[in-house]
Amino acid sequence: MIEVRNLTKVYGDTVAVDDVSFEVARGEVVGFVGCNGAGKTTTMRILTSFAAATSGEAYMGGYHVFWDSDEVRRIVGYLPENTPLYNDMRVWEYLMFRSRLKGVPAPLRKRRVAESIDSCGLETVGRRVIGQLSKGFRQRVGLADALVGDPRILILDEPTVGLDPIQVRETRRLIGELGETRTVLLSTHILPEVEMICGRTIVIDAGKIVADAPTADLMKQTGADERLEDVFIRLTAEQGEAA
Amino acid sequence: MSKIPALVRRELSAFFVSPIAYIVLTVFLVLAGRDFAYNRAYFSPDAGQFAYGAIASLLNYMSVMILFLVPLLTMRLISEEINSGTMETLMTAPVSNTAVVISKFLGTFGFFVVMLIPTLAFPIMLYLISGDLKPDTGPMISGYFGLLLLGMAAIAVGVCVSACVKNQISAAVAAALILALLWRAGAETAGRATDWLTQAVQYLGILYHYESFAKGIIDTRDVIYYVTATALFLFAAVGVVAVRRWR
Repeated sequence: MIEVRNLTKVYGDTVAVDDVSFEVARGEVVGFVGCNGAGKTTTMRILTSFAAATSGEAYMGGYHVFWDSDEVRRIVGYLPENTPLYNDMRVWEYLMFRSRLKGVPAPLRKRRVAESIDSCGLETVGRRVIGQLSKGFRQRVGLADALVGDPRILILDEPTVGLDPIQVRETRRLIGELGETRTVLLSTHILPEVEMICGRTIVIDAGKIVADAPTADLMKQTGADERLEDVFIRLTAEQGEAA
Repeated sequence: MSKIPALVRRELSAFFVSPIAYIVLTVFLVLAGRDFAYNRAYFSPDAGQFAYGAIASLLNYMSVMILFLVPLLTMRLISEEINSGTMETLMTAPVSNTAVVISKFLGTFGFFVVMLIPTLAFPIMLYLISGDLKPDTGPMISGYFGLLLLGMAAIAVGVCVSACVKNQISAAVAAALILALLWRAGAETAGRATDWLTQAVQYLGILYHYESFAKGIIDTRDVIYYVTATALFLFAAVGVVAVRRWR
């Protein structure tokens, strides 16, 4: 469903993504883990057709992210980092607007918006102005936006940032459920989240992939008292030394 | 392109919650009203020049105001989307760069029309107060048609600059400067466009092409100028948005 081949992105003198290759099959929930500036967001921006790669190729659902960007954007739901939203719009109005942009047929729009509001727990704030919402609710509006077009692929950049513990648990459960019918690529700093909901983990450091394995296999590399966090720190430290 | 109506509606609604749009609207109407009241006193109805003089002066005054007020409407269009990050959500939805730019343009043009509508009260008032000496409707109709064309071109300049410049204030200043330069190109060469170079500079004059509209003449050359300028600046804006996205 997601196919990335030798993807490289260079900004000036900085190599943000360096010869990255991976595949994500239909129905997989994959954790995309790395430090700040490791290249996660840049990769996700290329996969969602927001940015162009310097070299390499990427396909989403068989569509090329550059040459078939319209089709890619039709089948991908994206939650960007920091959840940018139109603050002057009301939640319901915003999601209706986004559903129009995403080409949801008119007779289905209200139902889709209602479903995404319901699955993201936004029932109580549907009529509120986005600019007045807490960070947690804003994050959930962003998630509802990613879902409203009923996408086959979900790209989520730090979906649980800013949520309270209850919301975090609900969002993880929602992502787990979504992963049963969709392909999910999830970027996060929170490693227990990856342990809980991602069947596979890709670790990226300084633009390069340093590990790509089932999360359970990565966990096996840990010692008796270790967690995925320790593996991550060890992998990124090894990469730093090698460099 | 089917997304344009939704995007235009979004743009228009953003204007109606924007304080700066209301400020621009108020300043425009107050200054236009002041000019009308001043001219009403200045041109004597007995002298037979009141009706034509008042409306021609008002149209010319509004045309200059448009050059400086439109950049305040257009400054946020694309630069705000870039700064707030909403460009990312917008451009990862299945909408084309052209649809985004055209919607920004049409939304602003919609607000511009809303801004002009109250000024129709002035010609109506002229009819009511001018007694037997009814004003000529030709220059009024062509004058307003010209204002719409001028507004179109000024908005296109603003959209293009807003795509180039991230800072909103810089976008407003740069657009106003470009429009002022285009204005002065026509004004400074007035009456001395004898050689081809001066004539070429005069042809660029954004208000030079408005003069005949204010006199009641719709010249296709002037219409072509405004339509071409609008198309060129919008085309450039689409290019800038594409470059920003893919670089």
